[in-house]
Amino acid sequence: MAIKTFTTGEVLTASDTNTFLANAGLVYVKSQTVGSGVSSVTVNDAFSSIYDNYKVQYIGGTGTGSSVLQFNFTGTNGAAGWYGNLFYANFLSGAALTAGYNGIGAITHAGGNSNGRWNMNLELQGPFLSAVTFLSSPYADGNNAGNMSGFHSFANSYTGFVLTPTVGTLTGGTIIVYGYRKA
Amino acid sequence: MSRPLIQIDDEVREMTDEEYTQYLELQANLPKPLGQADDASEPS
Repeated sequence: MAIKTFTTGEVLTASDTNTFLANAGLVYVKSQTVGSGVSSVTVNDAFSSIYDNYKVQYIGGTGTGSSVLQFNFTGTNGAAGWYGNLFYANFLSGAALTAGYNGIGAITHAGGNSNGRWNMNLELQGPFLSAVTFLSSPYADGNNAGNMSGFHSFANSYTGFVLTPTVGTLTGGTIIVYGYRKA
Repeated sequence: MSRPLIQIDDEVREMTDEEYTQYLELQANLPKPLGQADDASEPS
């Protein structure tokens, strides 16, 4: 039961409002304000059985210009389970380039830093399911742009994640988690 | 010796020794910066 067609003059009850109008396709789950000068941020209770697929965004924070964001699930302790590629091009040359991740402890280039400002728009498929998790994220920094895709090879269920900059720290901004409604 | 700060949900504090060890391991295995040669191979 996903939709309802209301007729003219029909009473809009609280139950119908909560069921059909409040829950859109992309549903807000939680947000986390990032502190000042932190070397990593962990967000717990982000994933659950309510949704299979998620969008995780980070915007508004500042950091070192050469730094990129690494993403990992909580509880993995850096075990080498991430595989993927970043396809990108330099703004100046335009030549297509790649960077590969062949069994590393945290997926890199989940987000970038341009002019000292962070950005991340990560799509996750199945992080809470006890199965391989797939992810993708557009990438942009001060010199390059592209797209990162990959997967986490452990068939485990995860409820949270951690963001770690490769250089320096994170200051400010907000991490927001959305779930894709299933029904 | 002070440790780097870590944030877990709303809590910000210094890393524990174990967290700092894991952080250093992660930093030691970073992929090369963009623009440098990198070997990408098929995952097993």
